[in-house]
Parts: sequence; structure tokens; C-alpha cells
Amino acid sequence: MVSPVIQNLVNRLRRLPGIGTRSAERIVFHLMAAQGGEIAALADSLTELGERICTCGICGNLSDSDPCPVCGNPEREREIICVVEQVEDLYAIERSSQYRGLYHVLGGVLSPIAGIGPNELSIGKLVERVRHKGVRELIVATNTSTEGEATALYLVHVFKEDRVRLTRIAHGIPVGGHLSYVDSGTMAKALEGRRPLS
Amino acid sequence: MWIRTIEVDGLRNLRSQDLECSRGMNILIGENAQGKSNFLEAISLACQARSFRQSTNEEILQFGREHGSVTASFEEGGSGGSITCRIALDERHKYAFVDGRQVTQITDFLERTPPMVVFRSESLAIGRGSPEVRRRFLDGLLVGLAPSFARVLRRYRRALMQRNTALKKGWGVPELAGFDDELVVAGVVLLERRRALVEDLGKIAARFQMEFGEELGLSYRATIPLSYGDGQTLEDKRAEYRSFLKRGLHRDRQQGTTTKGPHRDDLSISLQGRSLKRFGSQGQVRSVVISLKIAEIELLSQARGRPPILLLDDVGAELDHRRRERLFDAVSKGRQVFITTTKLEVLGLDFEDCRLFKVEQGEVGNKVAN
Ligand SMILES: [Zn+2]
Repeated sequence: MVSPVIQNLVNRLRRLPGIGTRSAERIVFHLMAAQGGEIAALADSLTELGERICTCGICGNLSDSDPCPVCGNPEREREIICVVEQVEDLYAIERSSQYRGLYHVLGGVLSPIAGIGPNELSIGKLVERVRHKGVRELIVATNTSTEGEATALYLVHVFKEDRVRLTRIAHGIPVGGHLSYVDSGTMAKALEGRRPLS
Repeated sequence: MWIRTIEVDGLRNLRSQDLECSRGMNILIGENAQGKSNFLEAISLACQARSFRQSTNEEILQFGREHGSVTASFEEGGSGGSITCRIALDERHKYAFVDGRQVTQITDFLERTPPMVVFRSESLAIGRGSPEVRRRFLDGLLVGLAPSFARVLRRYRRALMQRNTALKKGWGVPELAGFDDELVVAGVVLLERRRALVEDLGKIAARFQMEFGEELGLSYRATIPLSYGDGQTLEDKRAEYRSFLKRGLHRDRQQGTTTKGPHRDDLSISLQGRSLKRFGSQGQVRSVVISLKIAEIELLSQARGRPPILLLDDVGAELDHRRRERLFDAVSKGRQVFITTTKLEVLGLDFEDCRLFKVEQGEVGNKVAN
């Protein structure tokens, strides 16, 4: 008979991405054997995450401040915005430390099957930023999936009357590939070699 | 490249077992419903990561089992190199491994394994069945010829599915444009590959059919007939395709689906100048499908530089003596063959490098060659 306390935690961990039953059990057994307040420290971190993380009102990034550290950093170039699907993609680009502009998190991509149209994405907010904040360039860094490409093309339509330049993050990222899986060297090259969208 | 050993576990009615194969002819003898076809299906799973019956994982898994697997060790002809490919499955997923390392892209798996040609009674539907059967035949062969083509297919299907859903939901033109574009990019490639394939296939198949004194003609029927004018660039072709989509948009919206494109095309087959589908006899259909299968074998051997592995499921009885001889002549030249039959006499031929297996209640047993 398995202890319900252990089973409960295993079940919770199993719901996390990339964790199966076996890994969940390993984590739980590791924690039970751990010394020096490791469990309490982990619990504190989780509580902090739940209480303090908020969405940036400007770009949609997740952090413990609003505006987020990127938007709040006076050193970042304010005329360039990199448009990403999810916060994970923003982190993948930040890891390359090549990019000095701002971000905009769409919160997904166009997908009729998933019922996600333009209104479900934060496109209105992006339009506002471009028109009122003197943005020169939008780097569209949606994934190279069918939906990512379709969304990139839709953005071209949205901004066709504006003076902003749209570029697409360049190759080196496999077709159908996901940005968060790309290593930082490849990401740096992809940002360097971006090409205009028309 | 040929299969030296194959190990099956937890699939269909097959006993868990490990078999050593002949690099030439492998004959599986047994009564009906003993597991002969299931064994061929396991081989197709090991080589192509999917069942030639288009079965779901749930159907393939043995009753009461949560996991199953098939492992094949392949031997390279001259160089003597070998690789081991393994497909494991549960009810929802398939997992592919090459030499113990997981492979997450199907294309990477297919590039390592030998191509495969399957001939079974259901193959006759290529001659008589719905256009979908012929499209699947062409696309399957295109993936066999160049595994990376699977990406184009997936891309096309994905864009089509999204576009059709958007049409049903009444999305506007700008929102639809991106999916149109994806459809166009993949569609142009798909059309071009299919047309070129039909031409190559037609030439070879016609040559075989001529041996029986009959004139065979293949032509590709495109619902989006691109002009393929001289000096047309890729961009020109896309523009042409796009204008077809644009013209059809009203009708597509009304019907809530994309009414034109490679997913609605057909391969038209004629024998002696008459449509096989409409006028062909049962015997003619068989004979044409054999010619197509032989052409398939030839094309794969040329393109991949390694002969395909052939799976013939109970086809001996389908054919008259002359056609059977012709087929076996074409298949047995240095190729590995797995053939099932209820009676050895039906095959009626002697083979070199032959191994016999008796199949009974899911057990595939070695039998001494006679
Ligand atoms: Zn921000």
C-alpha cells in the first residue's frame, strides 16, 4: 500500500510537462531523503512563484514586477520589438544574450482548430504599441509551424499601412521546430540573419 | 539491406518470439487467421514505423497488453554494417529507436531503414477503388523514394485541416491568408512530385504491361491544373496556385471545405486506351496492379540505392501462372521477400536462399527447407 501523501505528490508532479510516473517518483524519493530543509526551501519557492509572479502590462512577459525587467530596463532599445508566441520563447531568445530590444508575447498563434482567432491573441495591444511608441522594427519570431507561419503572415496584413518594418527570424531553426528547444548559438544566428517579411 | 532477425513482443495474436530470416525468400505457411499477415504487419512496423493496414495502436497491441514492440536487426549488403531498429508502442504513442537511441523525427527513422513494397489482395483497390487509394499509393511511394517528403505531406495536411476549419467557422480573408499560403507552398511541391512520379512510374509499368501485349497509360488528374510553362519560377507556380484558390473561395466557403487541390486529385489508369476503373476486368485490374508494383520496386531500387524489402500477403492464389512467374521473377532478384501462403504448391516455384516458417496460432516456427 502506497502512502496517500506520497501518491498525492506523485500525481501532482506527473501533471507537469516532461515528467512521467517514474521521474515523479524519483523526485519524491529524492526529497524524502534530502537533508537541511530542502523541502521547506522548495515549498517557499513555489509559494513565492504563486504569489508574486504577474503578467507585464506592456509586453505580456511573466515576472515579479510590472513592467517586467525587460520593459523596465532603460538600456534596451525601444524601437525594436520581437514578437513571440509564449513566454518560453522570450526566455529562449534572452538566453542567447544577443538581443537588446523589447518583446511582445502574443499568447499563442492563429489556429482555427484550437479556436484561436486574432481576438484571442494580444494583437490589439501590439498595434497600440507600434503606433504610439515609435517602433521601427517588428521581428516576428513565431515558430516555424503551420500556425506560426500563418500568424506571421497575418501580422504583415495588420501592419501593411504602418511604417514599421517587419522581419522574420531567419533559418537555422528547423522547419516545424520550436523556439524553446533551440540552442543559444543557433538562436543568435537566427536573429542576425533575419529577413524582411512582405 | 535485409532483415537478419526480427523480434516481436505483445502484438496481435503473435507469440513473443525471435526469428532469424533468410536474406532471400522467406515463406510463411499456415491456415487462415493463424497470424501470417500479422507477422508481415510487424515487419512493416519495424521498417516504416507504421502498419500497412493503417491500424491503430490499440488494434495492433495484443489483447490485455499495455506495451508491445518489434525489433529488427538489418544487415547492409556489401559493407557488412548493421543497425537495429525498434518500434515500441502503447495505446497512444509509438516510440522509435535506432541502435538503442530514440529517434523523434519519423523522417530520420525512415532514412535509416530500407524501403518496403507491400502487395496484398487489398492492393487491387489501386485499380478499382476510390481516388483516395491511388493518392495514398502515390504519396506512400514518394515517402519511400525520399523520406523527407513526409514533411511536405504533413505540412499540406495540417494547412488543409486548419483552412477547412477556418472556412467552416467563417474566418475572414486576412486571417485565412496565412493558411492559404502554407497550403500553396506545400501544395505546389506535392503536385510537382506526384506528376513527376506518375511519369516515371508510367514508363516502367507500361514496359511490363507490354510483355502481356497490353498498352498501359497513366496520367495525373489535377484539380488545380498548373500550366508548367517554360521558365516558370517557383514563385510563378505559387502565384498560379494562389489564384486558383482565390477563384474557388466562394464555393469553398459555401461548402465549408477546400474543394480543389492535391487532396482531391486522382491517378487515371487506362488499358488499351480504355479506363481501367470503368471497363477493366478483374484479371486486367490484377495484371495492372502487378505492373505498378513491379515499377514501384524498380523505382525504389534506383532511387534509394538499396533494394526494397517485399511483403507479399497471400497473393499467389490471385494470379495465373504466367503473371505469378513474372512477379516472382521481378521480386526475387537479390531482394529479401516475405511471402505468406496457405499451400506451398500455390507458389509452385523453387527459390534459392529459401527459408520456410510454419505459422500456427500466432507461433512462427522454423521449418527445414525441403
Ligand atoms: Zn514587459
